[in-house]
Amino acid sequence: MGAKMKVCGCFLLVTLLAGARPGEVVLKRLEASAGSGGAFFVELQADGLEPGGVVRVGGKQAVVSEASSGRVLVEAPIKFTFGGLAVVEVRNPSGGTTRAVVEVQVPGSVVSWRAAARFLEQAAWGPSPESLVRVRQLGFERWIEEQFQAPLSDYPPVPEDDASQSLTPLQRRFFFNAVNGEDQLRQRVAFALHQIWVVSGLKTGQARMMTPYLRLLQRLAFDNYLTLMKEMTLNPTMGRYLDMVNNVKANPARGISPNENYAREIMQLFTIGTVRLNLDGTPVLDDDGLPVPTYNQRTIENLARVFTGWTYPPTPGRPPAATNPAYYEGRMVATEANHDTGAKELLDGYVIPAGQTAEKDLDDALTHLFHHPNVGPFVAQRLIRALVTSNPSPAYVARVASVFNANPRGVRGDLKSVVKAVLLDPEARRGDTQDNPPESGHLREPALYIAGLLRAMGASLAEANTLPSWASSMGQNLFFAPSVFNYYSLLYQPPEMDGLFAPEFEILTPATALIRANFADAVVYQRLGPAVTVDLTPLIELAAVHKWYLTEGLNRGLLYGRMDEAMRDRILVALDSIADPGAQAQAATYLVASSYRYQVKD
Amino acid sequence: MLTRRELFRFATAMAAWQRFARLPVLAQGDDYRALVCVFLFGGNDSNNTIVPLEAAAFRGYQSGRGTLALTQQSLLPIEAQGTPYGLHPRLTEIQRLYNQRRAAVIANVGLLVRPTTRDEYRQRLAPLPVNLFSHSDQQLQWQCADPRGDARTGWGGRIADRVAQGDFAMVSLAGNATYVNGERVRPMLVNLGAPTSLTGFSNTREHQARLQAFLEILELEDQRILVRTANLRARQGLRISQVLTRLLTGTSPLKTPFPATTLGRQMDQIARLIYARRELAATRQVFFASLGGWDHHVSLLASHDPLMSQLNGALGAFYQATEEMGLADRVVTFTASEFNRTLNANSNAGSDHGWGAHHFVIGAAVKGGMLYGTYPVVALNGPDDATGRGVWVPTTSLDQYGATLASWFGVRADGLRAVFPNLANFQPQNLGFLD
Repeated sequence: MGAKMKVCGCFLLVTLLAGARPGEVVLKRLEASAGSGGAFFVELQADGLEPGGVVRVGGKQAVVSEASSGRVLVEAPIKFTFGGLAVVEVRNPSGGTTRAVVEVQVPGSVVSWRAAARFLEQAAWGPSPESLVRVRQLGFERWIEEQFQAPLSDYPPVPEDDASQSLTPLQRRFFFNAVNGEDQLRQRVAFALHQIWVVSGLKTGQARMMTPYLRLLQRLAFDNYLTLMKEMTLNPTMGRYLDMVNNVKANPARGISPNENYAREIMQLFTIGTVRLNLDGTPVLDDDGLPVPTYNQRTIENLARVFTGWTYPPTPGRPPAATNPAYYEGRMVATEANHDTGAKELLDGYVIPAGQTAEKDLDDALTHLFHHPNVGPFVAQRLIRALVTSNPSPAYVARVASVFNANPRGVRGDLKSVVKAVLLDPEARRGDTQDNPPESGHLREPALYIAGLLRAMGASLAEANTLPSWASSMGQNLFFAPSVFNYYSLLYQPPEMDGLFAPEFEILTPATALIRANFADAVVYQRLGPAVTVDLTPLIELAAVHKWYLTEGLNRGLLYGRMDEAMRDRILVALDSIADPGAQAQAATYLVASSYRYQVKD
Repeated sequence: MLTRRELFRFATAMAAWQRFARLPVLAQGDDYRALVCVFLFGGNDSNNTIVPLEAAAFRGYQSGRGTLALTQQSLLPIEAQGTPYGLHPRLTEIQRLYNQRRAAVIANVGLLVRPTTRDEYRQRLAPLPVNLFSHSDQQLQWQCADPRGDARTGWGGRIADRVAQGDFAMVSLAGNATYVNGERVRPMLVNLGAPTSLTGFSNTREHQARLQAFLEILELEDQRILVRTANLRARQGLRISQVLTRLLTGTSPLKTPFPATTLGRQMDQIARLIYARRELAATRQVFFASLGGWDHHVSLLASHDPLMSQLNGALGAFYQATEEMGLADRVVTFTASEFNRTLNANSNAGSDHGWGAHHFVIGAAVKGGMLYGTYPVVALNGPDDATGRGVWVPTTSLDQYGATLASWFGVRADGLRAVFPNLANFQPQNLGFLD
């Protein structure tokens, strides 16, 4: 059978004939639709169905919940589908067998499977069979609201003893949460915020340091940006990382000045950047056509004076001191004697008056910074790049930045509203129904590629996994960013791309490009160790019907239906040399997953 | 200091230049140069690497080091401008190269903001590098040439940015350390052992059919710019993987034997890559190798010994290989480490974190057989001792050390100021140990 076959909305009948045989089943109607709780129902009407006949879905024996003459209703878990396609096999005791491929419908859905898949690439760590149905059932906005309420995934408890402070359990838990956790959107946003408010294990490499920091990001992902600014500023791990903890006021007699590290980075990398921005993210230009700086060295020095006088929180059970020993739970506390109480001129002529406490100075400075017109476009650009596309149009940035500036209730900095704006914007959703312009999309960063592929394959993942070392070999050693500038610069422009942004390309090197393909190999050929189980049965079943269906399942499940015939042909030709459907499923999955048509999501 | 506007103009101009200058500049003749940084992670105890043998100095050494002192008979004698020193007993090759004037000692070099005296340190009268005795901070500062440790590029990468082109301009055998990252240059990361290659394909018909499809899919036209660019990089990855596999596995084209140690194997790989420089279209290269384990808080004498031996064997073989290739005057190898260690012992017969350290520079272009900089007065609470435990306030800054190397490598004066922002605080800016 070399002809192309299309799967239409209802069903496709594929009857395997080995000559006309008695006991042959003829399907008259075949429908599949998603129920709730991760199951779907197959209803078929057939002639020639014998008593004791078996209806199998996904190659496994499925529960027959009702059987009457000619009509069978079968319930199966949604994981027996791939890309919304399932294989139904009806086998009579006398031996006649019929197989059909059916697309699972979602009754009442206004969202197509392609749109749902694209959406979950942006709003989750990629679609899983279950989440695909859920989005189709709820629609985007209700799914997002449900995500706002989803229980938080946590990190392991911090060990007491010094010898057990490795970050490996945190790295492993990150992937466990990504593949299994319910709070998908929160995790994506928290990870995006981590890549802005970077803390690196290269300097703060103990679990007692990283865990509170990561939990804070997780907790504040849907809060207000000003709250995030304040909590991050007072986070002891951030204080250690950027030298704000135990930073004291100047001592001119000794030539000591406050440390400027945090003051510089909070402006440059966390809130406003180095040049003034329009609402749409483009740089403001002066009369000579040059960008306008946001701050100068004086601003940094004065902001450094603001951030003086903070020390670690007191360790429980020990008396508080002017300089507390290292302790990472809670917020830093102020020792007023070490705080510079002079007047300080900050951005744009704003002056903090003399004589204030450390906390008042900090609040005033952060509030003023928060209201800088740059913050909206700054945050908008970064969240859009993290979730949707590396090169949003200025109009898209402006729309999201406007929501940052004022959500529907007039509140500034509401991350829930900003995230909704990022995901529901027409530019984010355009690709649901049509091809995007050539510069669209972004390369999945290693964590997203790894978690996304496993979710798409419906893989099961245990906590004791080896995924962190894969991410590291692809250039993203989780929680060990090379510097405060993140695993890769959020402003990276590949030299070959003529001015386009593509941050993730900074770690796409000759070596990591191969390692990505090798990861696809490891997934498909079960080389990820006992912690990962990938069940290719749905794909094997599709291959057993016809290899075209295998490519079509992968097309829908991994490429949102945009596999072109050139790619399909290459895969089909390769499959001609492979006899066994299991081996075919592996080979075809490898070819799609390793391709950059999958790894660049668009 | 450049204003942001000037920086922006510079960046735009640089971007244009970079696009224009993507073709490798193959100079007339063999105008090849390579810098090889060997980073000793952990803080090498320089006090036992080069020991003063002048009578009073050696007494100060013995008295200060106590149980950590090496015996005079065990040390390998060298002479620096008339003053006797002794190298660690295992540094036989380095002694030989030093006596042949192919190696030099750079004394008491470390991170400084500006020239600093012991009293200024003790009375907190001078600005100091941040977190002076912290491994991570000092490693970062050594690699970035930034006493604040803020820079996200290393001076190796910044040198390569200015003088080198091509995929192999900056090569690291020790991972993606900050040292090897420039503004423009991305390091070629070479693993010890098999180079990164595509896995999962055997010679069966099935696998070859899949491989064929994989390669063809990488060549497919695609409207999407990001897909096209990624495909390009992946194809480049395959090519480089094949080249590196050919060059770095199997028998070396060089006859010089290398020790099969961690550092020996890295130096072997570097030598093979230098050998293949024309094929790799490389005329200027910066290499980064490393050896860890130098953090000798416990049992210094016993633990230091095998590492010194490994260092000696690897550096000796590497120099020999450069002679074999006729490039001995084109390659300069230099050591680096985040700090020295205390002169005196702790309670575990080890030494703790120090500051100013002594390093070796090796190559036929080195004006060797000499000591550059000022060897500290080896005495607890002496004029060079910052803390009372024999922690030397550096008298030569990392910036001067690096700038001398960079200048030989081809970075011009204005480039040096950009690569080493702190260099202006120090004189002389070129220490003069290279031709």
